[in-house]
Amino acid sequence: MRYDRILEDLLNRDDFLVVGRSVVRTDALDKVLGRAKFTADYVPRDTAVVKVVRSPHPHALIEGIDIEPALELPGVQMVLIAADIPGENQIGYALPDQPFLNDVKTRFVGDPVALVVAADEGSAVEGADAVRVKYSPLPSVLDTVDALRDGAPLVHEGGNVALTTKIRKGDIEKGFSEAEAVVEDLYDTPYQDHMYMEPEAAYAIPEGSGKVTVIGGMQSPFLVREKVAHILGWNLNQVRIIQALTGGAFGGKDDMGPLVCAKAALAAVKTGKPASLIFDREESVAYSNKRFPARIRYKSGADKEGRITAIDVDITLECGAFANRAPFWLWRQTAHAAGPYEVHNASIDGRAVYTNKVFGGSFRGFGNVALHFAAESQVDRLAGELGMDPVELRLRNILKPGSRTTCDQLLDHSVGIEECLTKVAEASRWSSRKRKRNGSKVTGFGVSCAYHGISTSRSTPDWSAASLILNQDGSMTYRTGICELGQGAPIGHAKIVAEITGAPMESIRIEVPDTDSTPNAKPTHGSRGLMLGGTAAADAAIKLRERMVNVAADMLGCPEGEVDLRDGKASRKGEPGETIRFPELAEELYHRGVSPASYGFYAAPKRYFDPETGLGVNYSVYTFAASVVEVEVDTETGLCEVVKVWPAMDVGKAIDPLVIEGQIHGAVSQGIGFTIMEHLKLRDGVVLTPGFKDYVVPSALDTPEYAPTIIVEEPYQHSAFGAKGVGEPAIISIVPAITNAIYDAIGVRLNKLPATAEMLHAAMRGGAR
Amino acid sequence: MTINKVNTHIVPIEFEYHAPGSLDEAVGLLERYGEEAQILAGGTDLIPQMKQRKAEPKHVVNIKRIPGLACIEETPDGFRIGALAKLRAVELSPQIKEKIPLLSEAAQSIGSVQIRNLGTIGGNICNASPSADMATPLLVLDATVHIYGRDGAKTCSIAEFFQGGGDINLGRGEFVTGFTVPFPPVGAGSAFEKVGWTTFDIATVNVAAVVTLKGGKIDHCSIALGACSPAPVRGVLAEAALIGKEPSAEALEEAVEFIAACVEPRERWRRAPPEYRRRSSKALAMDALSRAIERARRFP
Repeated sequence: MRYDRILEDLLNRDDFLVVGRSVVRTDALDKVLGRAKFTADYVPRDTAVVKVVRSPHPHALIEGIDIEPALELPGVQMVLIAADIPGENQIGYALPDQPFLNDVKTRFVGDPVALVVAADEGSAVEGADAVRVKYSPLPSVLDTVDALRDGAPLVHEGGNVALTTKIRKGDIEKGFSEAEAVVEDLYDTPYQDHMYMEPEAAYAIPEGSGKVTVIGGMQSPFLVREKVAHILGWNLNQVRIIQALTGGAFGGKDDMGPLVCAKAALAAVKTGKPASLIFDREESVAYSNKRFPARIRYKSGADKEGRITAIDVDITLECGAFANRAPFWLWRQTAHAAGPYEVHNASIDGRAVYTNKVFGGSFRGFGNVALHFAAESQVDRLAGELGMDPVELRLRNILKPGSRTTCDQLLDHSVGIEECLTKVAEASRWSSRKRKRNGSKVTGFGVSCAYHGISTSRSTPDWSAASLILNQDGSMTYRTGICELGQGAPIGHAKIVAEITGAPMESIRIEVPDTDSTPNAKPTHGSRGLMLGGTAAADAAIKLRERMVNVAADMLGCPEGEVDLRDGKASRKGEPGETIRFPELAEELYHRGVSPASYGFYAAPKRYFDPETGLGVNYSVYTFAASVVEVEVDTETGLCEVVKVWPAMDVGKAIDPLVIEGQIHGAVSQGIGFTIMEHLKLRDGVVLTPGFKDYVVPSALDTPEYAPTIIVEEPYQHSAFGAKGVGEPAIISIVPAITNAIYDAIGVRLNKLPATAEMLHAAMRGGAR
Repeated sequence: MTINKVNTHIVPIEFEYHAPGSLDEAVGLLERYGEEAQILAGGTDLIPQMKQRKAEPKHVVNIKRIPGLACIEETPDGFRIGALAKLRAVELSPQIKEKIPLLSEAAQSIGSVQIRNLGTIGGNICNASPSADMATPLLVLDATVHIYGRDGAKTCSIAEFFQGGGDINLGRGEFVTGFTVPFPPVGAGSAFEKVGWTTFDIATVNVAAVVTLKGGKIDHCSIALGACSPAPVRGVLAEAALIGKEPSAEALEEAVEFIAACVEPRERWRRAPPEYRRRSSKALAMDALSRAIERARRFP
């Protein structure tokens, strides 16, 4: 069926009830009043505390672990090491390269060696200090250049290159020979920490023999279940995972959820008593996954008309100690390398490289932030070389319906980037923009486009599931494995259910994801929560609606096609007089023996790609975004302020414009932080900035002025009402728009982020225009 | 005893808590415990330090029960501001805004509203941080520090109060009860400037300036710089270079050249390298002087 035509084809209405309107989220009040329960709120007093014993060396062999001194301390209940793991001592995500507890060697400062379980926090910390680990330090590699040298120390057996990617399309030599202008540069992007308000947390309760329940912060309860079962050596159904409301995740908790939950679960199962593991901020910043650093060499050429004739891109991704999500991350960068432009000749190579540093991992934008920083800087530079307006050059290359992506994927519909760019240029009065100077302060304007594939990566099958029950009183219970992380995707599902069934929003209760009762919706990542999860919700709602309509038609004595469901009532279209309220309708379903429950399942269209050339259909669909940014740079202090942002996004269909705006505003702040403020400093692999004081993120007062969000709607045929994901695409265009604006203001292009005041100051002294 | 080294919800050290009700009682406690005692005022610096075990006082002396230390009073000599006056109160006081806007401007630049609701002016000064934002305004206004000790009340000029390297001019048992901040000269223009990593961040450099004009020439000029030296300092050479001159761009350029000679940023300060602090202190001094002059010009 055409999921984008539910309104016209199925509901037979021309107006929406809740979809497309900004509504007050049903969870807003609880959160604002502090009633919402997060993981730590579930942990009773006197629950045993787990602390992780971590390696102080970036690279070292473990020669022995003496746990006795810790066990002698009062309060310490148990110390767990690798030998205590009943299942397999392996928790790598994409590759089996990450031991759960290390007993052979450690690969970064913070690599776990043992778990101390104690009666209270203080005893646990003392216990962790008392565990004696004898290390024999090894030479370490602390950057990718060193790691790739001949004879470099090996982080893992088999070499420091974890994997490679490539795309070969057209003929780049021919492409470059047709170019009027060719530019080439190196772009470096650093670690970024997620800095979610709620640090990583898990609370595990043993349930008799052979069962454990874990409550925690996460993005994929079913992945957590798989990893916990794997560590315990149990079946999946022996592990019950409940996702507590999660106080921010941004990808980080997709990776950290399994690591933290499995530690709490192992402690609970081994001691037979409930156990909790709650990171403090320092642990979270120093030892949890970060945005993968990347170094991208980017060469591109354009002809006199401004058409990009070829790109030659070389990506070096720094994994840190483990590959984690690197294969998917690097593939996303490779597959999106041209940016949202049609380029016929492309050669792209990528490699993910191990170093002895904290491991990289999922983070909003998933590779596309670094990639677009390079690609969109290059596009601006080409425009500069050709003396062409940056917006004009972009428009000459922009993806349109019928265009092909970097991977040669044909985009037959839902391509709204041209409209995004045109409208955002119009709204910001781009063509009449003026650089202003006020004392030492100079303003500048920058533009950037972005696209982001919505679905799992590398053509892995993507599907989602949901369930819906009409209770006897007419209320509804909705279950999805898609997690509430603050972003509101499950509320979006409820709106889809409300639209299709006519149930009032407040009558739909969204249950917390619980692997014992919630259908597997696959992870809440890749901006797929609303698109994939919401379409499964639509499927469940459509199935339930059919039965409700069938019974209601009989009760009203009218054809099914004439039944209208809205406001919790069924009536005959055009005759609102006779109505059946949902409690009555629900009772009738139960009475007649018509199933009041439905299971929704949705599978995305099949995708494929050729590993030799990298060409194929890589992502279901793409969300597009364009931004214009105005900055003010103080030429004396180097301080840069983002003054105003004009955002535009092609979202397919806005299920809730307010939620989209929320995503964009949050992403802008995160993008500003990444570009000009946040700086994770390390020395010899030790994180020197493990807290909000030294690792600064933008505050409310660093928020720019926002022009009204331009929402473009080019519906996607295979998702509920045509909606596409927005969470990640929101951040991607901001970063290069800021750096392009800085260049416009002061003529300095920093290819290495962050562009802090100090760096800009130094760069300006180095050579202003 | 619960020892907690990292969890920042808990103060993981044992200490005696005292809440004296009078100045003399407080002096008695501070004399008795000396280095082992720390004064608790707003707590915005001390409590986080104790949580992280960066401060481990054996005795915490809460001076908030002593009456009269939170006053903001206008006197013929200027404002008498109690050590316990909240930064937010200094920021919002209509009298201060009208008579010494520089104080209000500097107070407003500190942290967030939540921090200013807790933090006190006395704490900001007595922390002896080179980057304290209230220090530079007090320096340019030649404020007086009121100190109480065994021999009763005494005073000290703010310039003598800062001794550098985190030291302040207080003897055993002595503590600060407040400040007298003189009104700026008639017709003065003033300005406060600051750079940090973010708006909520502590200063990487801050500058306060007060200027008066007479017959088109600079009659009075005082300028102070924070976070550029082991203690907040006056830019005396720059002041001398400006007094008696017309406030032309050239004169200002010439004067701020002296700023770099007045400051001594340290290599080990992690938030910015010395070279950056030197250059941006010059730039901020230029901004502060220009704004102060502009405001002085508005005086009829």
